[in-house]
Amino acid sequence: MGQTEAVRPHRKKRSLWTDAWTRMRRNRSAVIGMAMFAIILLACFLSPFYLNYETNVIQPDLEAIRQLPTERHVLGTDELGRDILNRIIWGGRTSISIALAATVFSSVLGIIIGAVAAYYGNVIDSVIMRVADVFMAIPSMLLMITLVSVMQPTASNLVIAMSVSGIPGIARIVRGQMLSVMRNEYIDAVKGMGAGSLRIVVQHALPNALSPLISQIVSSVAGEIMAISGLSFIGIGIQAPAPEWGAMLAAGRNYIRDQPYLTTFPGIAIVLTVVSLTLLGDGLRDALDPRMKR
Amino acid sequence: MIRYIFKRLLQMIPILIAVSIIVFFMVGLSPGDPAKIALGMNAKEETVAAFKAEYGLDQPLGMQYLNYMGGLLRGSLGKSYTTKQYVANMIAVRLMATVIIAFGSLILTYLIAIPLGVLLAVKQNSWFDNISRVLALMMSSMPSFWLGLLLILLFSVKLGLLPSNGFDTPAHWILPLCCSCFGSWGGSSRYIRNMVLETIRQDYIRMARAKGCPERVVLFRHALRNALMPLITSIGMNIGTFFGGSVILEQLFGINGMGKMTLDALRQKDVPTIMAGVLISTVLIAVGNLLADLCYGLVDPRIRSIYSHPRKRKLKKEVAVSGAN
Amino acid sequence: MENDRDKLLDVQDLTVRFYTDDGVVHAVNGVSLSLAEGETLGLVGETGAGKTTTALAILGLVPSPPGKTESSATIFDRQDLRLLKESEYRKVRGNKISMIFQDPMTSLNPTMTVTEQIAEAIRNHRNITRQEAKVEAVKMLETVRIPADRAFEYPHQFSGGMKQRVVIAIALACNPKLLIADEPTTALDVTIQAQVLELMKELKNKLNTAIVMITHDLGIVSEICDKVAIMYAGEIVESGSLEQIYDNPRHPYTNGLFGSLPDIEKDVEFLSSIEGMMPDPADLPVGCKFHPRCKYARPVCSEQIPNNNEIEPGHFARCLIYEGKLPGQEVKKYV
Repeated sequence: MGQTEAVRPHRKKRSLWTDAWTRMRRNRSAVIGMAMFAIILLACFLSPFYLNYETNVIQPDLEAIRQLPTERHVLGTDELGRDILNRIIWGGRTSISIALAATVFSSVLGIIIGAVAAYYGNVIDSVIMRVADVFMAIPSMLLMITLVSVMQPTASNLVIAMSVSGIPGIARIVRGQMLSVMRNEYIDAVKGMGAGSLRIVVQHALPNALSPLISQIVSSVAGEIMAISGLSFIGIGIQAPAPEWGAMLAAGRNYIRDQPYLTTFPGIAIVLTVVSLTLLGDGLRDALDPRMKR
Repeated sequence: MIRYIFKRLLQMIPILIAVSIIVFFMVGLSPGDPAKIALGMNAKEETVAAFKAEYGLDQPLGMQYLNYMGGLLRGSLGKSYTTKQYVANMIAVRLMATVIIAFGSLILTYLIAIPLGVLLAVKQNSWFDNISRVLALMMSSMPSFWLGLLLILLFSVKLGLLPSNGFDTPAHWILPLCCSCFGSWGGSSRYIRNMVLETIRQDYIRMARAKGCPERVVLFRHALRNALMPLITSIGMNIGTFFGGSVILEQLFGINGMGKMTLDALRQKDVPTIMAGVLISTVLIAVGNLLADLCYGLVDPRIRSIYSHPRKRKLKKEVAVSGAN
Repeated sequence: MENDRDKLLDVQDLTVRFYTDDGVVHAVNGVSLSLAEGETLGLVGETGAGKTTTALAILGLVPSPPGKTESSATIFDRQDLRLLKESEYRKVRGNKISMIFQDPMTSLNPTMTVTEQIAEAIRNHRNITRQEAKVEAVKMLETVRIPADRAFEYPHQFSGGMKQRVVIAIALACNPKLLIADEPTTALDVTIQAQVLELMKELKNKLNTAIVMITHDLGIVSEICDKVAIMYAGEIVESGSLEQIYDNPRHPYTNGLFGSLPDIEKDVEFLSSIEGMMPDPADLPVGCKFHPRCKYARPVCSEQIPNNNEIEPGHFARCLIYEGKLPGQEVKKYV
């Protein structure tokens, strides 16, 4: 890449993270994504302070069934007369918590398993990878559906099902990254200086293997949100009367002819959340891996 | 080549066996008695016992598994607990719909996304490119089931143009297919754009320009072909996604497909049907992946050399040389 | 003016800037070069001095945007390259001017056989059939000593030295009048380096091709070049004939370069090196661009921009010492 030598100015050394943060702040769409997600998070997670689950979220109001947006019900009411805005906010809390929990579990376990496979190699590696192959051979949606069906569709079981289907993919990526990082000469240098194996992995190999993974993990939260709404949409996710975006869509579907707004607002909620997470993930990718930026 | 395909097919067998064990025991060990579910809660004790005997449910789970696998080896997928039909017949009716949705949307996605992606790369940073960035983000952030509802609202309810339920005629295919492709049109065309732009920065592209190649040749002969390689890998990985998406779309558009069948079976602990649904999807995806890998070989000579036999490789070379001189 | 007629390439005041998000990168700042047929010019400088960008600018291949190329003249073979339309420029590239890129590992398209890649260059400029072009290409490969039975292999089946020979074959396929070789040996083993250099010398003598040899290796320059231009921070700081530069380096930077070379005949205890680093092309020093690293520098060096002073016929140095601005200073050889 001869031409880049002239184009890329030489800069003072700064740490990877402060550098990434500076780049991130300069990236307008990443900042927008971050702000959007922060607002969504605040609105959803502070909801117990301003909403009462029994009275605001699940109590049917027979006086106001399938109403258009009014002053009292800003986004209208659903087929049982429940306030759609409240249900969206409460449902968001559920969906986002589950998605975040599933992402954290699958990432942590995936990273550990992938790192173990890469570091020990040989038998351990091939056993782990063959098991991952088996789980990846089943389409992940089908795997999730099967897992949720054989357990009960509770929030924690949803987290388990989504984590299990996420782990093999992350483990495989981490393993690949680790193997390529471990081939670098600085790892040999560290070994030469007499560092122990755990130290090599945790201090030297993993951080370098992970930076390309971080943006992927953030974006995968968006995927998990889609997945959980999808599961609820087909009726095996969050169960009634608790609200969930996908479940609200499924319920509103019967009234699509006359009251399409029943499905419009939950849909918009999903899109906004996914968009914010995607922008954030892309921003992180550009910030952590400036080569990809154009 | 044939040897390679054969080898890959052989490698699938242990994976399928593992998948079958996992799914069979997971479902088998889960709470709920399939006989009671199939016959209803009020069924008499004797009826339940007779049902269990008929389907071999009175045996221990390990034995049931061996029986099932024995049946598979003889080419029998078993009989559904709930519909009492042969699973093979149920699948025969439903397989086509799912295959059309999954592979149809795969093909349709890239048929549109590849030219679009190249166009976006050429028009890099134009207003067209910038709008597409926003549009692609929106498209790929829309869950297929919500998009499906919107499409039904517009094309079936308001305009009355397209049917929204069932899968009998090609007109029925349009909405589910569009629904399934919509998100990936956005995402994949951006991905292809970035791959082409990434390739265009390579040294051999500069070399091609320095040779005096017209920009069109640089783009198609040199850049696109090399950009296709990572793309094919991602296509292989997407097959599973389209298959999974089909479960939701079948539910939404009332399509009698494999996904809906498996989902219903799961609710009723109908083990033979669940097994067939999962195993057949797994096989189809594996075959799709194999096809993608074979395409990879068509594009990349470095991979191609894995397929061919060393002796043949030498022969090919000799033929080529004698042809040139 | 008689002299100008013989010039194959005449570049005056070439400037290349890149307009990036982080500011304007001054990659090439007023470079002038000239070359007669059959002559070889060594363009020497550290990494980041703007050598490659200069070469790309001559070929009209500076990516734009973000790059912008300007010059007061770029005459090649009595043709003003600045006036060419893209389609006309294309007829020059790979035909009359061709380029060998630095890294043979990445310069070849991995999905085409080497023969196809050479034949493509031929067919871009000559109206012959695909088959004829392939026959030509195989001959070309034999010229660079690659046996014909490997002609239909792909780049990944070749070693680094062989790949570089393929790259050379592509560059020479249309008998160019000017060959720009961008560090053609840097990525190769020493033994292979010698082979490639030998090959280039042979071709130069056989085909009378003019060569711009871009390198940071002064040894290569002395082996193959007639003229030398030393580049620093996008400028040519000293230029002249091979003898003038090697026997009598006058610019402190050139002198520093030679001082950092080991010499068998001399018995020095330490090799001297040039302190500091090449300046950031987005943030060049004011005045003489070399002054922050120059051991002769005086305050005036950060205020005045030196001219290209002619010290002896054909020997130029861009230093204030030769403008009498630094009284009592004299560049001592290799110290």
